[in-house]
Amino acid sequence: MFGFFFLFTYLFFHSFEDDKDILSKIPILKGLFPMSESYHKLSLLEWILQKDKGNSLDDLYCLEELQQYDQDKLETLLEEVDFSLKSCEKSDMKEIKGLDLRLQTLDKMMHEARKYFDKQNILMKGFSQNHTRLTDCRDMSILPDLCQTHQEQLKTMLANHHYLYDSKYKCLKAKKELSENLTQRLKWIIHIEEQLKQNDDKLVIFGLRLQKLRNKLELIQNLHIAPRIYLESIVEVLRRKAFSESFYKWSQSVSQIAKQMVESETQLRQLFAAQIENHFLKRFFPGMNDYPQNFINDLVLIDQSLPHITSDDIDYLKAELPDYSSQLVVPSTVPIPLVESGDEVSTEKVAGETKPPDTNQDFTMGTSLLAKDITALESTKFDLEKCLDEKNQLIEDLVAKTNSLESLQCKQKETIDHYSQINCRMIELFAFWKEQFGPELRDHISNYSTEMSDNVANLNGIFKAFQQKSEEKIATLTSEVERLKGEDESKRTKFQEFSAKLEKMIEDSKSANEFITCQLSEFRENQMRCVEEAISQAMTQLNQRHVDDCNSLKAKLTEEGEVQMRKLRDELNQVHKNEVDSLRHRFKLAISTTSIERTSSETSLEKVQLDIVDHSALEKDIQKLNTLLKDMKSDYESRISKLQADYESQIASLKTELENEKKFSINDSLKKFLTDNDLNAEQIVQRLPIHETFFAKLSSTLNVTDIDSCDPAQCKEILATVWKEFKDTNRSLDQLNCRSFISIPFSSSVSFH
Amino acid sequence: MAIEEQYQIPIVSQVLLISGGESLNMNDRVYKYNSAGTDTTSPIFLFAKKSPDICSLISCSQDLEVGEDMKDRVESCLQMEPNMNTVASRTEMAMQLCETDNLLFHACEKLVHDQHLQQQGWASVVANLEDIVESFKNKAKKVEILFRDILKNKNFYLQLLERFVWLLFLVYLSIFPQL
Repeated sequence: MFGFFFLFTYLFFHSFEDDKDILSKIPILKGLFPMSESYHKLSLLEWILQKDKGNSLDDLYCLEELQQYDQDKLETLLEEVDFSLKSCEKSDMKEIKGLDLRLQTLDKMMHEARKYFDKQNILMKGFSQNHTRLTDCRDMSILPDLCQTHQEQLKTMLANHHYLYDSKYKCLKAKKELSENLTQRLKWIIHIEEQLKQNDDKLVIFGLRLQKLRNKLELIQNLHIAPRIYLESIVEVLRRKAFSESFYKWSQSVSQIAKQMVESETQLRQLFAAQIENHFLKRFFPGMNDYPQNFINDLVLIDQSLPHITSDDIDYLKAELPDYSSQLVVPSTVPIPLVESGDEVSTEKVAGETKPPDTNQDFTMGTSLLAKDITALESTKFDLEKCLDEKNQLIEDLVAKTNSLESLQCKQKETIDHYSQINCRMIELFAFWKEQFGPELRDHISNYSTEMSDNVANLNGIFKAFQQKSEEKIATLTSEVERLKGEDESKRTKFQEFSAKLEKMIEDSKSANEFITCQLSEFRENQMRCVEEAISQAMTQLNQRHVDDCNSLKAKLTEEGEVQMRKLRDELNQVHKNEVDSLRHRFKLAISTTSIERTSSETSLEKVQLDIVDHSALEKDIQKLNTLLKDMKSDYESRISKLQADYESQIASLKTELENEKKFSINDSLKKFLTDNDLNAEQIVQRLPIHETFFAKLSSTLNVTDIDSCDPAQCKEILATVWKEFKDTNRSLDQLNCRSFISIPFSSSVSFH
Repeated sequence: MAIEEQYQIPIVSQVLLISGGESLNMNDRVYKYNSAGTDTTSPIFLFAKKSPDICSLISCSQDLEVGEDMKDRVESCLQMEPNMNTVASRTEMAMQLCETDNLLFHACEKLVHDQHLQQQGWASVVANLEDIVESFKNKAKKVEILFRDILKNKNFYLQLLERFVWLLFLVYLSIFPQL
């Protein structure tokens, strides 16, 4: 068997790439191993097999299984599903047609049955009533009629009974039918659900198998693309590392520059703002409060947890897998513009010391001016240095010039010597010629020689003059140079002195400033302390005053309130007592007289009942009056309690307001309160006469009419009048109430301002 | 279990439903189901699978003879002479009639109420069925999607696997080099 396979592979090996073979070739880099495991040389395939010892790679082979699944199978499955679903949809089985109508008719029938039943009940009650009455009365004369009626009634009862019986039979039948119907449908449902369950099981198994197959196929796919992903990931890691390195370098430099710029700018602006902040010219220059924001915040570093892979690993892999060297090329990172640090940084001319804002403005001004002076001085110093440098240069130029002049002079001297030599020679020549040649020649030569000597003398003169001049120039230049050197030195010394002085001044001003700030803070503290003490003293005084006033007012108010309340209560109680006693007495008399009499006539029960009713009506009326009186009494009592409560609430509100307020006028408050009291008393006093009149009327009516000899009609009249009078009193009371509400705002919000 | 005792339906073939069509689990407590069995508007319905005949349960306690009996008695009452006794006996008759009518009436009411409940029960059964059908449809859909997906990529997968075959052979080769 293996031989056979071997043959196959030999035939087809060279035309396929074998995933497993590839995987077995690819080594895993040291950097990719997690820290816990020790590194040993593994290929990808070995690693996979090692990690998953439970399953073997061969299990993934599912070619046959895959070939099982095709379009036909899917279609048959779907057909089955559709069929079972359709069979569920039978709407005629699901809905019971006509059930609603049937139930409605049943309900109607029940309604009718109930009516009949009620009728039966009534008839039955009638029967029993008649029976009891008959037994009570023992009147035989009514028997024939009664029996007749009974017969008819019995017949109707029987008919009703039959009706009910029929209706019950109908109900039974209906229920039976319904139950049978329902059992049929339930059987159908059971059948359907069993079918569904079978299909469902099938589907579930199918689904599971498909899912497993899908998982296997995914695994195989992953295996297939594993080498590519592995190599690409390695390359990607390296690329990212390179990128993040260059990126962070660039961004860090940019952020530093930005920070420096921002800092320097903000400092300058702060200095300026300190200067102009409290100055009246500020209004000309709006919008001077902007400060530059941070350009780049702290950097967030990414790519920190990548595995440790270097380009050496790439080379190693390239060596191991020459076929894949094309995939193992790390692409170059995108060039990032580098910014030279220090280019843009402005040469900052030292800002002085920034003082904290003081209350004393002069000091700030002084110190800022000092700072300005220092900056100016420093700048002048710089300028001076520049000048010095320039002068030094000039001096050097001059020196060079003098040197050149000297060299010129030397040259001139040489030329002069040369010329003098020539002159001597010429003279010798002339002498020779003189001896040799004739006088003509001599003349000529003497002419020439005189000319020559003249020329020579001229030249000499010129040369001498030139020499003189040059000497003079040299002298002047040297003297100038010396002079300049002296000046420079003097200036330097002066400048040093001046800077020393400045430093001293700055120190002095600093110390003075500190001293002043200390003093100011001390002064402030003292002031605050004094103020606080004063305030606390005042507070305590006021509080004491308040408390005293509160107590006195309280006492007064309570006394007065109590006194008034007592008075009113006593009055009202007395009045009530008197009237109630009198009424009671009178009514007792009336009742006693009426109760003795009894109608002894043999009138019908109805008339008897009417008399009783009359009596009871009278009694009722009397009771009514009693209750009315009681109500009035309770009403008065409630009013009294109300008044009390109002007084108390007023007192409480007064207390609270006194505690809260600092100033009040006692007299005004007292007056107002007393007027309120008076008004209330007035109210009650107003009401009293009304009640008195009512009671008087009542007593008069009762006195006038003699209750002994009264008819029911007369009694009725009396009651009517009494009732009318009562209503009138109530109306008048209500009117009073209305008036009182308008005139007296009986609320507790009395202000004390 | 109490139901089993009362109605002689074995637990296995009991099915309990509530009015929305949800079926109750055997071991769950009642409170887990929303407002089940609390008042007359949401009763729990009991169904018995494979019931021999439910109808027999209903029709036991009927007495059809009562009506006739009453008729005779009433007629005999009507024959009586008008005297005190007749009045008494007639009133008694009336009362008896009323009593039986009471029974009849209440029985009717109960029957009608039962039918209403039966209608509700049926509605819950139908709802239950529809829920089952829904879930079945969903499952079928999922399986279909899975199947189609695999079929779509079948060719690709076949290629992979064919290569894989050779891989396996090679593995065998490497393991057994002497072959």
